[in-house]
Amino acid sequence: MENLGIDTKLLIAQVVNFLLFFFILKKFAVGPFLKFVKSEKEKEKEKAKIDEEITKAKTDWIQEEAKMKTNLKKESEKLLNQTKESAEKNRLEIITSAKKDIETMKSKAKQEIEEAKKQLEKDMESKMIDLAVTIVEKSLKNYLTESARRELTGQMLNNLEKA
Amino acid sequence: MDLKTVIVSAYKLAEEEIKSIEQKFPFIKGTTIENKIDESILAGIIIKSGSKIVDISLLSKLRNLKKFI
Repeated sequence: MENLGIDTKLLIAQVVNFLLFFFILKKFAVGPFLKFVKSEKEKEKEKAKIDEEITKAKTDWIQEEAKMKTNLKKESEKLLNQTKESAEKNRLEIITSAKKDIETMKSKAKQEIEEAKKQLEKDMESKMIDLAVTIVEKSLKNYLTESARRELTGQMLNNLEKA
Repeated sequence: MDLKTVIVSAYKLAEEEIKSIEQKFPFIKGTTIENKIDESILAGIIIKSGSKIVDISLLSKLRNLKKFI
């Protein structure tokens, strides 16, 4: 070895030195660094997991919100339709009732007009008869001569006998 | 006491007419008959004797006709 120019003692010392250096480096520098890197990786994983959960929660929330909006829209439409139906029903009922009232009023008015007309006709007829009889009375009073009165009286008495 | 009979006519009745009336209405026989003239009855007679009234005047017939119509 010495012939080759290699100093055995120096070699051993260098080997020992290297091993010491390797041990110290591993113990105080590489180990903590790897531990730090591992810790950072764990943190990253945890962060990614949290991010994923947040994203999932957000997606769920958005879906839930959309679902709620859809339901709310459906409920609103349903309520609106029910209100419209109810309003239409009320409108029809009011129209029907109003038509019925109008028909009743028309019928009543027609009946009243008919009754008034009949009463008027009756009054007119009565007045006409009164007038006709009055005219006959006046005419007879003015135009019946004594002989005519005598003749009429005789006839009335004769008729009475026959009766 | 004499019972009085009033015969209302539109003209003055002749004796024969009064007699004829007496025959047709015997209840006036024996009563004192008075003839009253009222042209408004037009023709015929109205006999008033005590509580009895017999109206066979043309006026009453016309008024009855009015009621009948």
